[in-house]
Amino acid sequence: MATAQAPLIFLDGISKRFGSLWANRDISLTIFEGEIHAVVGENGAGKSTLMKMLYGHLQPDGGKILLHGQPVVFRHPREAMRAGIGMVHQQLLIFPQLSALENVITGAEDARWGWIDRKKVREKLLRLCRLFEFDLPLDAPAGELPFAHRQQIELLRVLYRDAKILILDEPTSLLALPEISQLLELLKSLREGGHTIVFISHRLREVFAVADSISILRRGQCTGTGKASATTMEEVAKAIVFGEKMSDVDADESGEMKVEVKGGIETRWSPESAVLGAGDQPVAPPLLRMEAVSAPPSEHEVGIEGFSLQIRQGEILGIGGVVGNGQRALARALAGIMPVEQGHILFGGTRITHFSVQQRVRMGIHLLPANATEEMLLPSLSIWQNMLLGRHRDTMFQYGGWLRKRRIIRWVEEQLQVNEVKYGNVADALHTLSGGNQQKVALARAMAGSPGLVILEQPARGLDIGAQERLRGKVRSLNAHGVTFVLLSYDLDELLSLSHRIGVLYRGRLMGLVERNEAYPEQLGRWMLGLKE
Amino acid sequence: MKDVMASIRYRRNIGKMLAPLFSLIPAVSVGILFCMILAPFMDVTPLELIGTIWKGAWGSRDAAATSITKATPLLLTGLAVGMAYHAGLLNIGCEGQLTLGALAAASVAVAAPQLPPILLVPLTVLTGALAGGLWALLPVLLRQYRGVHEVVSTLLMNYVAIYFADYLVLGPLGDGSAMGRTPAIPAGAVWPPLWSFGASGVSAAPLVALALSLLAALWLSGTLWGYEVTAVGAGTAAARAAGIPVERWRRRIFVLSGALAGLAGALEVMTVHHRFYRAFSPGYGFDGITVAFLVGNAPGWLWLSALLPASLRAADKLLQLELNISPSIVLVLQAVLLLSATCQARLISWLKQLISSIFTRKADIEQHPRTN
Repeated sequence: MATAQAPLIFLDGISKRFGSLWANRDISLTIFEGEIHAVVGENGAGKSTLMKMLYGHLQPDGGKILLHGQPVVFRHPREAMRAGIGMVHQQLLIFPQLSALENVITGAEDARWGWIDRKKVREKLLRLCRLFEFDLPLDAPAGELPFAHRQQIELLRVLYRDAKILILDEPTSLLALPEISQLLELLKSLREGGHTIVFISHRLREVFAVADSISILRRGQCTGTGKASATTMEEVAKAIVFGEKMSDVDADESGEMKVEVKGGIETRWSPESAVLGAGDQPVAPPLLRMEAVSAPPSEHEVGIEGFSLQIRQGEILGIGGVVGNGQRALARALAGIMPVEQGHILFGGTRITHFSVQQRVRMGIHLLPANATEEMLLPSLSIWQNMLLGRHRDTMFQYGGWLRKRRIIRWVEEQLQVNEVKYGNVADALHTLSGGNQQKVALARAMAGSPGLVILEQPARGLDIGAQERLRGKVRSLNAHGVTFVLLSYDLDELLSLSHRIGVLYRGRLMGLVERNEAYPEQLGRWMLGLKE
Repeated sequence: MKDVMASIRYRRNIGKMLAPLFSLIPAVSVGILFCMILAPFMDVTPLELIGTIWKGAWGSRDAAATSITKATPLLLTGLAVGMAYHAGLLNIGCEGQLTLGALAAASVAVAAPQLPPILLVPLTVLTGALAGGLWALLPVLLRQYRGVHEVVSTLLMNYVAIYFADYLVLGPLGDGSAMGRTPAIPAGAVWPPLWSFGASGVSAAPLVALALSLLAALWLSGTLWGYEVTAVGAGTAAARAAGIPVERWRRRIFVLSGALAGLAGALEVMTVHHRFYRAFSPGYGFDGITVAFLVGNAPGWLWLSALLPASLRAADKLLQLELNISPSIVLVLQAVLLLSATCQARLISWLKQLISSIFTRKADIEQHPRTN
């Protein structure tokens, strides 16, 4: 390193293993004071594990942590917090019934005579909110706040405790575009204020927008670290995706993948250069028709109202829109999880408006929700039991009510292999897998067999770049084999690079719908804001 | 080839199959340790105390017969709690369900003495199960339609059931004496001992209970319905999204749970007491919770955990006779077992991790040589 500065944090040969899996293996990492240090890598590369050790959630099995040159041992997050380290988790830890203010101060209440000094707390929080331009309503119950506000709660929690070192685990994965740029601005202003930030992300564009240094983790090892200015996005992407892996993939296959990865990153940069030409847009009879369908709102999202839509056989229909504009309701009404209040849904001529989930799954309609782990998976059950879920009534897997275990296991192992899920034993509990691999299990389940219609809700969320590209490749190749997709995404580039047609949801209504080759990002952006012309 | 590999790899997860023992063994160890600490306070040596418990429970054929007889209702109530737990519900109401099951079984048998045993026995058994099942229906409906937590409702309904049964045996269903009991059931409804020696014997009831628990284990792990129930217990949102009728399964399993507790009561009447009387259950329903939790609700191992409280119960007379110790020590021990069984989730996961790391370390180093 060019800087003569002493490192603020030095992770010296950190190792951690879970059972037979090395989550981290001899990782050394140097973080300097006042920098934004991005840690990038695939799912299951060990990023979160490493950060949890720095924050005292986990104890390293080997290696040392040095803070200001002094070896430290954090046996509990409390101890890390006392040393000025704060962490914002990927899955936000929120008490839904408490107000935003109470959420922030829980655990570090400013008290006088055992009573919380609300006035003092509020003043301090308001100061912080003004400083960082947060628009958080302090008295609203946290459970009713949108995601961006919940994240502000977590950030405030850390800042309120005067942490000087911030660890952010995938902070942008659930944010909409304008919110992301806000967050990135915040990170910059925190750096100006003398904070040091360790930032885990899959999105290289964001990493390159703010990071001073980048470290790459791959299969539990640190495979590279350096100044952001001294490298390019492409180089980093290759290091993340390929690393040492080139050797165990056929030259043929990896060559093909390389092109895809390159193309993928380019499309993320300039949507105009998307891979789809105008020629491959199938015009076919509608596979699914929604006629004036209304579905109720849920959580903090609006429902859909009088929603009509035709999905053509064999197309990828992209649905964009800002978070909370009815995407949830649309996906769940299609999958049969949410009741339809009015209107009809026709699938291949059959009226399925009131069909159960099971019936729709049997007809080939699958949903992959945004937070699959919570909504679709059973973490305490085994991997094979999770893969089976929803298909368990298939005659392939049961005979007269008895499960055909051997056949199930074989099928599950095949599917996991195809989808490159890293696992030990299919009888292991699902929660032993990393978050990204759990998501891959959900994905493998939705894509297995020959689905007719797959509804993907923010499929790229939480996936690393390599997995995102593989996912897109998979969607394209399944689509080429006749599978129809509905892709709900907040990411315009993703929509533009995959879809044949793109629609935009605004407050539960369809603002507009265009063919891919007639779609302009500016127009879609206006639709997302509810502007027609 | 791949097929064979798959099945071998699947079977190799022995750690998971033996997982219930990971909660049983530490709990028993803590129990024994507790005995050893407690013994000096009662003026006996630890060895005397543990030896007497063993002798009282398994020292003779009589003692063993008592232990097995007492384990039977515990196995069934343990199964009742365990099944409900598999569907994500906690049935604390076995005591009441067992009481009403026993009373209903006894009353039906008393009312129909002229029936031939081939009809009377199944009728009595089924009536007991039905009464227990119906008593469990109300809490689960309250949960589903009114949001009343089943722990609260089942717990409170125990007292309703017990006092209601008191009223019935002191009044309309009693034998006319002030004893608070039903008349003795007709001989046609009694299960004779399969093996008898002297005053004691063992009927076929333990075999029935054992068969039911093993059947439940097989049903849960091997069948489609068992799979659906397991999924419901593991997470309602995901189960519902997969199209599994969560509420319907919960109703069915909870009623089944109550029916098992009712069956325990019916079998107690038909094999042991031959009538119903006030304060019928000496806590079999509550001990079912201990029995189920000791082996992590795995029905296939319930027989083992049911023997524990049963042995303690069987030994209490001898404790009093030989060591002059109050039999309440047995209750204390049982409480210790339950506490250590429920507190040890952390301990178990730590143990498992330790064991799996011992087993995998060598293989792992061979597979992934350190590359530095």
